[in-house]
Amino acid sequence: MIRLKLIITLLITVALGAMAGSLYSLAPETVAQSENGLQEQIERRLEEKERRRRQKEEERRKAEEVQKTKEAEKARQAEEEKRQEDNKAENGFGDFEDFGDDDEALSDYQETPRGLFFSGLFRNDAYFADPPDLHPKTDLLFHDILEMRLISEATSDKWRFYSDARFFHYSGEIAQLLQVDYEVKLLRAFIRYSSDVHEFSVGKTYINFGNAGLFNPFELDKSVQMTDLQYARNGHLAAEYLLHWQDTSSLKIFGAAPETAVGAPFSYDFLWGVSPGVHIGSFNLGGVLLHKKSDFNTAGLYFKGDLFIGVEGAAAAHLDDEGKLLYTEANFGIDYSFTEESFVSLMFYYNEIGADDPANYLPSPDQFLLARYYLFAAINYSVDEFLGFQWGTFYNIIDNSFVLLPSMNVVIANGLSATFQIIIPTGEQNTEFSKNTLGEWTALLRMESKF
Amino acid sequence: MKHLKTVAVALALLFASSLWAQSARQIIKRVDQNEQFKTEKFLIEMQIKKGERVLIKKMRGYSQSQGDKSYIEFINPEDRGVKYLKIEDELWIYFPDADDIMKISGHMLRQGMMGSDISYEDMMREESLEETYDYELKGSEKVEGRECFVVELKAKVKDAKYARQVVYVDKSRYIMMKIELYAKGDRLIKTIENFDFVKISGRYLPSRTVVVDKRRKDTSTTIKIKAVKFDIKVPAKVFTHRNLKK
Repeated sequence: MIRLKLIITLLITVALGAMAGSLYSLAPETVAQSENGLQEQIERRLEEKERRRRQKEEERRKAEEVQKTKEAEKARQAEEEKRQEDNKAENGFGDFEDFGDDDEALSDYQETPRGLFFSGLFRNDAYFADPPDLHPKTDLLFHDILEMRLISEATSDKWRFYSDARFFHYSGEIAQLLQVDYEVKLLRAFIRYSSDVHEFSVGKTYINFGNAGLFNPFELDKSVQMTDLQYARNGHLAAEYLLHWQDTSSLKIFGAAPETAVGAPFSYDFLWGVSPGVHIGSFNLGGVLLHKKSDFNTAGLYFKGDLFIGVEGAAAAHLDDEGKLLYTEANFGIDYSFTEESFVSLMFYYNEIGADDPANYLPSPDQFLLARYYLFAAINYSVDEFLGFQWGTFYNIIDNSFVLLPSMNVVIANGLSATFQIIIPTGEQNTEFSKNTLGEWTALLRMESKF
Repeated sequence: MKHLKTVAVALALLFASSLWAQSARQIIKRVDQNEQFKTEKFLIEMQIKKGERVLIKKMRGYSQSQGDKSYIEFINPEDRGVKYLKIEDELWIYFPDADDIMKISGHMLRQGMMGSDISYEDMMREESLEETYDYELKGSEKVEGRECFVVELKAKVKDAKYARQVVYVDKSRYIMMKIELYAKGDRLIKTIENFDFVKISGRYLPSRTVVVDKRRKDTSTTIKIKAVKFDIKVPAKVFTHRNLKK
């Protein structure tokens, strides 16, 4: 019994011992292994967590990017739409690309935008002059003209209304001469209808025949302002019809009310004229038949074109109502551009009714100047877009007097410019451009602002 | 043997030079194709700059390659209503102040348009490079980060706008990135640089062009295309005197 107990005890002891031994031998590894496994698990879980976090972040970032792109696209579209609207409002043109390629849906060509437009300018001309001999004694002549111009224009597909109204304020010598301080003039106001072939204008308008510019024999208003060779003339109350044939050719017919002095009886002696014009090769050619007043009619031809230089000319015969020749008038001019910045022009003018002797000088509203033969020369030079010079000279071939017209134009800013011009007569006494009658010099300072 | 070698080298050079010439011709032809159009409708802003002073001109109009016709109308307030009509080498200008059309002599086309660095010719005349110039490929250069062919053009007709041009053509798009314009005597007179290219109607177009007149100090003219459309229907009546007076 005791042996059995002893054996059992020994067995239990051995088993326990073995267990303890194995435990002892296994525990670090197991623990280690367990620790490792746990560590790995933890790490894996952490990695997984990190991966998921990154994934979520990536997805969030992508979603944000998509959102940003959409917003940017929306903003760009909104900006584009606004730009198109601004374009349309400002210029009458939409974005051409939006018209697409469907030619049947929208015309690719747009007529002149409809609407009412206003524009104008402020101009101040300050004149300083050496007084002529006949003037009451003073050291310096001065006068100033302030001009405000308002242009109103309404257009549609075929109709156009245009008006040019001016307000003048005079001060100095000219106010005394005109005996007014201010004046309001409506230079032009007309309505024009234009179709593809026909053009009708009625109202106060310019009547233009021949080549626009100096010494035009067909010019109705033959006054010359040395300080402003392109000054604005008064329009005529007229009706004009233009038949367009070919791209650059036409037939013009006009009729205008006669200009009568204030208080004078109305005259039925209407002005009328006919002028066909064609374009052949590089030349404009035209003819004019004009009735200006009783016993004063003009018939003539004009041309303008290119050889290796620019050439232009006009010849007119002035006739009475029976066709008898009264006198002839003609001009011939050339112009050439030597460089991109400069060009020169030269014009010869002949007027048979002009005097061939200074003793016979007699001003007339039917004459530009007094003598029979003239030369006008001009040189234009542009330093750049903001500064330009011109030198003009009228030369009276009969009495050998000439007047110099140097000028300088400065563009100060958009729509703002200044012009400085001097008029220097050189003639001796009894000549047309005499210092005695015109003074030694006249200076003009012009400031002009367009809006 | 030596003789044969010489002939072989000569033939090789001839072949190589013909390859170069062919390449330059192809380049110019592709440039031409990109720039030539039947009709064009445009809205343009022109900035004329000298130092700090800037003048802005806005214009709209149409061009037609057949007959070399252009119609331009100014719409900025200072020049509103002034219109140009160009048919081949002839130019007419309508002045609303005078309500009259004035013919400008052909030689005046060399003058700067509205006082800008761009002449009427530059602005209104489309010149076919292939028909007007002989050309030679000079190499490659980078312009504004784009690899470009450098092609020299020498005038072969009397009425070419410029005696010599050096053009830098984008190798992938076949558009001119930069142009140097030379007068007779090989004097550099203008540079034209194109920026901000857009693709319209299948062609690349610079929406901004800067012209610098090298004869003047501190001036430049920038043309910005506000809107443009090519090869549209333009009625013949657009390029007529009656359209100037409307």
